[in-house]
Amino acid sequence: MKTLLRKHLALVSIVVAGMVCSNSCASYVQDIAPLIDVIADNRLNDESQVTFLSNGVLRQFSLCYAQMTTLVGGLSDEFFFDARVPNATFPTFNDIDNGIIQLDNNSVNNQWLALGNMRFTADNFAERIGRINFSNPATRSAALYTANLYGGIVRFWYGAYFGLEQNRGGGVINGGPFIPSAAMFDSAIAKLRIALDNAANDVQRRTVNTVIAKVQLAAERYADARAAALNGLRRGDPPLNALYDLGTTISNQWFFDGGRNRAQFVPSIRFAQYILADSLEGRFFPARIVSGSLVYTGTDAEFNASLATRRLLLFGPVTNQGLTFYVQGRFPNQDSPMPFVSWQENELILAETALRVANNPDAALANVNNVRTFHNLAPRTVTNLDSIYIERDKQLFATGMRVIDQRRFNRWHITTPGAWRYLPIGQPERNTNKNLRTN
Amino acid sequence: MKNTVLLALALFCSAVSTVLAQGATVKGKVTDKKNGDPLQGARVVLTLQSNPATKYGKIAGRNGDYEIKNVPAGKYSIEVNYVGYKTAAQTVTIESGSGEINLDFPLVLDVRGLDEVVVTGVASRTQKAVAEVAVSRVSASQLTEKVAYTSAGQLLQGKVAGVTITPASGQVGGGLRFNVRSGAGLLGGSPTVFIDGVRVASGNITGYATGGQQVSALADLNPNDIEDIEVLKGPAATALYGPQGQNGIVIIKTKRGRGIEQDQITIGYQGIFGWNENHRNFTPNDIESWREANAIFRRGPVQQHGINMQGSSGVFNYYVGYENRAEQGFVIQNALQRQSVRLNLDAVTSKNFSISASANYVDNIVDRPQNDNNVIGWQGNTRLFSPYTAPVGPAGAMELSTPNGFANPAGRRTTYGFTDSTAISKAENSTRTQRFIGSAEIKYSPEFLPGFNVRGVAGYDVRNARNEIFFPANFSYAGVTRGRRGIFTTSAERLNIDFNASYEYRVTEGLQGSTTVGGQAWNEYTRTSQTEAQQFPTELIRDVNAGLATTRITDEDLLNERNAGWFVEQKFNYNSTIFFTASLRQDFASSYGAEAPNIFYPAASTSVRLDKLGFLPEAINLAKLRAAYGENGRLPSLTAGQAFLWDAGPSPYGAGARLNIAGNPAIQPERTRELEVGLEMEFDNAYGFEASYFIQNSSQSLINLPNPPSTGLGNRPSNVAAIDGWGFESMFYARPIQTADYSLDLKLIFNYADNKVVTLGDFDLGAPAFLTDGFTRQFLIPGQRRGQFMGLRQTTPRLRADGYYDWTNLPRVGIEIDTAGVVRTPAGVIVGFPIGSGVPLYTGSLSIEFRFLRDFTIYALAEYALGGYVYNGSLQFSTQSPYFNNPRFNRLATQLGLFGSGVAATNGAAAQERGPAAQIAVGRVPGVNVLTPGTPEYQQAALEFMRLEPRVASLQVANYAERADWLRIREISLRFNATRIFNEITGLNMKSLSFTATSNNFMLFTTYSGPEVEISGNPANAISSSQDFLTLMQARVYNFIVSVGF
Repeated sequence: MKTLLRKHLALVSIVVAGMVCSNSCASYVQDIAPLIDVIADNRLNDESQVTFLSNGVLRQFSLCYAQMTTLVGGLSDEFFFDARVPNATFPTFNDIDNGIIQLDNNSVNNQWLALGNMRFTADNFAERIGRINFSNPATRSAALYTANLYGGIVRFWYGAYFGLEQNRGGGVINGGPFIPSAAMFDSAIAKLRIALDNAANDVQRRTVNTVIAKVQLAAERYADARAAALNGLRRGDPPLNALYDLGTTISNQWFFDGGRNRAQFVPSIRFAQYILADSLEGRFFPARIVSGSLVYTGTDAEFNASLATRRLLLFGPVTNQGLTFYVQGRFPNQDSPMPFVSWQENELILAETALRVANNPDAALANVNNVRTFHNLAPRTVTNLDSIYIERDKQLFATGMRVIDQRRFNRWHITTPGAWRYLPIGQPERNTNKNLRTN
Repeated sequence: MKNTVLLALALFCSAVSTVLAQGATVKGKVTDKKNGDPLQGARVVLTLQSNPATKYGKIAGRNGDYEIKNVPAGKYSIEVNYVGYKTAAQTVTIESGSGEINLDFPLVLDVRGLDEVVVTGVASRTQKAVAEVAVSRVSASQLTEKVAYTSAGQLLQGKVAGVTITPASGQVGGGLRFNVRSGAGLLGGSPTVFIDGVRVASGNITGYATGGQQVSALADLNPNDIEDIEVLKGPAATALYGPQGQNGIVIIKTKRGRGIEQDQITIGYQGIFGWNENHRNFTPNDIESWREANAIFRRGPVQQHGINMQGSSGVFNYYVGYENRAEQGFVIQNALQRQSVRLNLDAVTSKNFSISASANYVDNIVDRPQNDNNVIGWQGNTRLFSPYTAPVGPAGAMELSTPNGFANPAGRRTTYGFTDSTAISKAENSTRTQRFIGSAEIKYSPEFLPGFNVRGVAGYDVRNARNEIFFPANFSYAGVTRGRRGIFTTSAERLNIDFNASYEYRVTEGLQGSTTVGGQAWNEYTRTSQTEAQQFPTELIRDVNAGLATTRITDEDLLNERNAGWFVEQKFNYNSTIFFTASLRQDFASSYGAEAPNIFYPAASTSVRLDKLGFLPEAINLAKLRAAYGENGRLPSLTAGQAFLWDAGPSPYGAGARLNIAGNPAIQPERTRELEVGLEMEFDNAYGFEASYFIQNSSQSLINLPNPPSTGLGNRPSNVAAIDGWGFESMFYARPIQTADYSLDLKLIFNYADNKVVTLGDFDLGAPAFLTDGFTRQFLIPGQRRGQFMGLRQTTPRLRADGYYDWTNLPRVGIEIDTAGVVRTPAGVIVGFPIGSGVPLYTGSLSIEFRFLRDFTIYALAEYALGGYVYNGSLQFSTQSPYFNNPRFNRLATQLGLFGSGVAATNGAAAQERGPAAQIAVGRVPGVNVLTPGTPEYQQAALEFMRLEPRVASLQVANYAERADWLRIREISLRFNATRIFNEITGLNMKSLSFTATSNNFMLFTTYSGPEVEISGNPANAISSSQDFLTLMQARVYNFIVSVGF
């Protein structure tokens, strides 16, 4: 009997211990310190978080812009890759330059991913605005302006820079079907019109109009481009800049991939010829190879002084193994801001569309000379599409427009069969997007 | 006398004996039962049962004789131990007035330690002879007498059936990757490590990367403190450990105080002196830059001094150990400086209550060189580039004449083309870890409730690590502007509490039962912080504050996670012949912002001692059949259940919202099931084998599936995937020779393990057709092995119209590239041919230990792996333009007329031609003639050349994924045990004195062409596993060990 009681006592103790364990485990594991570096999504649905959300969109814009323009600079005839340039080593950049781009080119695919992040951030912000109770209508408008302006810009990039096939431009939104360039530009315009409606002032309105003009120009809808540009940025208006800093998080990628830090891509020799032909176009700062590395001259003050008026800045010439090359200095530093649109670009859109749709060479000439005289360059006496093509080449150097212009003017530089004129939508998207699987 | 002997024999045969004695002398002889040879060194200890702290003991002398004098009256337990023999134990009662008591002990061989108690579950400890699951024990204390080890992980290499351990790199203090059986779960993983009951951090220390090399948390442990290591390998054995046991459990026990008698102190010293060196030199056939690549190697000295003291002091048994190890790797800037102090205490206050405590403090400094996948690394700067600078002739032409081959077309970008060698030598990366690992264990068995036992363990692992980097401002580094200084600190605490209560009882005649309930709780709290800056005014200062303010980065993180689980276990034992266990465990884990998920895991196991059923020959001393089934798995990560989490991304606009995680609110725990059956047999106590067959299945596998990049969401946590695994593991052992002067031990381990991905989810519902690593080399594809290399094969060279090899254009899929029978996605997209998996199919080892002339021992362990593939990324990368560092490629290109003497064309244009065929605008290999197109020689060269195609990803895999069978003489040593001779000559009573010459990684035989075939890639298992890109080869280590005990 005693033994039986002991056995029961032991077994009951064990069962009680088990019950205590079970009940206490669930509460124990949830009693943890809160995370300090992340925020739950629903806590951002508040007016006080709008600046934080808005900064997130701007941040993605800066991240994308410099890297995007670096890659398409190499795809176009604006920049090239050559292994004789010290520290030019990326095979993926070499492939982009040659237009023979594999679908697993990780430089391209990383950029595709970055655009996806930017698109999500902007669209998520736009959608979230509907869930926020605003006490200040101006805050709401500012939020809508940012979310839609940059949501429009990223769609423009999809349409202008990526493609499903070598000559079939377009992109994908949110894992959906392929959207050809024209439809993608429409989608961009729709976003930009919302931004326009929510612009806080005239400069913002003119900025958005120039962005619309830029998109319409890429879409080769010249009348629409002209209509927007006529309400676009004017001399004296600030450019819409992408900002960068010296930290390693948001850096102007030109500095690291096509600039003083490392020159994977170097500019076509014609940019040096522009300066050699007219010293007011730009300035050279000497560079040389020391112990295998490029060493540059010049100070930030000198760069800034030069760029205040001249539109080109090159380091060089440098000769190595029979190759003479320059390194771009338009964005000389890690924190050099990059204009996305400027009044000068608006003038050149007006000039081109004056010829294409308004049949007004005088207006075109005036627009071109507005830009040239700002840079202390001699005014032209005549202008035509060819000269505007060159003017845009100089003025919009390293801002991603050359690849668009080459296609628009049908002046592609590579004749190799199978060469891409867009950056390919890569394997990661094709593998995971069921809408692309049959392609 | 005759009566005394008879009495002694009677005592030996009975479990309890009574002897009339007073101040008695207990004496006798310890021998090998089989051949009667004396067992010098056997340990004989009497323990007073009423007060276990009272002990009397002796070590058997030259003829196996022992004599313990003046043993007071009392009831004693007497135990006789000798390595490799079963422990003999009995009870003896000494009464007043007694004289001499003779007790001889003929010991029975125990080659595999069948009578030793091993851990078979979270609350189960049983003799290996009756264990229901496969459990492997490695006697570390015996190994460290024969071989010098840097880390605890090395102790297990080649010793445990079903477990392979691969270093991440040849650097000192580097990370490790465990592969247990077929790798439970879709992505495998590492086992959980317990040290004296402390669930320790065993992964890699976070901080600044040096190109793929990491610092292992296991490098903090002093291998010489370890007594033994036990490994439980799969869910069948580890179900009661819950999620932490999915990939096996490694239980490390450190040395405890083992006083022969009260107040006796044993002091030991071990000195290790040696060096690390590269186990292989590059040759002119490997790379053009073989001289430069070899120049970074050196002999890195190793020196270690360890002293320990152990004994018994009344209630306490204690072990105190101190180690100081200074070691340099065979690549400069790699060093380890470790100091370790350990104190283990065991207090036995009564037979009902005991308490044990362990404390270990380590101060470990690991300096890492820049290496591996790193433009600032030694290897990247010496193994990739051709060393020859092309002289530039008139008009830029490069006609090359180099002493030994081929010139780099890029001219300047020769060896150290990325980073200057002096700059590399000035770059610093140092991690200092200060760590305390401590535990306390209490056992209580109340007298009023016989059979009831309570056990509790509290473990604490706190680690402070500080990783510093410094790139001086006066040198040039990619991505660094005028110097960089960074500090990354980690403060991590882990606390685990394990407890269980069990009750053992008789159910019916011959049937014993026991019921156990227990629980485990685990809390991890980790804080990290980072600060760094660039752009320093001078290299003479390294204060982060001196960097340019706008370049400064600061960051911090906090992670607090908890697991908890409880279990119930029911055991039955029928006549010590049939054993059965059933158990159930429920687990919980922290989940941010959501209810904690929980899951039940069941397990059941049985074993039958066939040798006790009476139908087997007597020579078979063990025949055990066992079977076990168990489940466990993984719980979702802390944040996996959140739809969106945002963090703050710094930017010039001010910090902005950045999507951190796009989770899955519907996420569920992963479940892994395993069925294991095994047979263990032993003959004549000297020959035996143990074999296990297992099948595993993981369903609802937790895996991050990629969203389409256009969603901007990154990967989504998912559990739609499943994988099957199966395999066979076996160990054969034999001791054919056992005499006083000679003994021979042989051990052969043979493992086979395979797996197959079952599904990645429903393809039509958005699951990917396959998952791949970042370079589309290794894949997860339903129907294929995990980490399968997939590629396409070129069947014919693409030739130009003039008959020359067409290098300008890529080979075409379906024309030069074969697609017949290729694996396609459900949508018809070509994936490639399965080439092989990065994980070998067959692994194992062979060890031989031969003792001769009584005091000399030769030991060797060879480990092997068959059926695996390694991607030779180093060769592929250095072959391609603009590196051209592959001598074979260069020779063939010259023969095919592809190399001209001109300069590369630029900006997308085809290469300029300087000759009729030159398409690669670089110089020819001197002395090699261009072959004539259309000739058989040209065709043969073209066929060979296309197998080196370095440009197209799918062809790269086919051309550079190499069969990587290997056999490595992992450990070899010659030991001279000088104790006997020394004592005879000097008349002293030294406990031990030995001298050992040993080598680790002595030789490697492999079919792989790279310098290192054991490639771990990422120690945290992933799809990518065996891709070699500048992996630093493992060190060959030579050591001389001096051990002294007195």
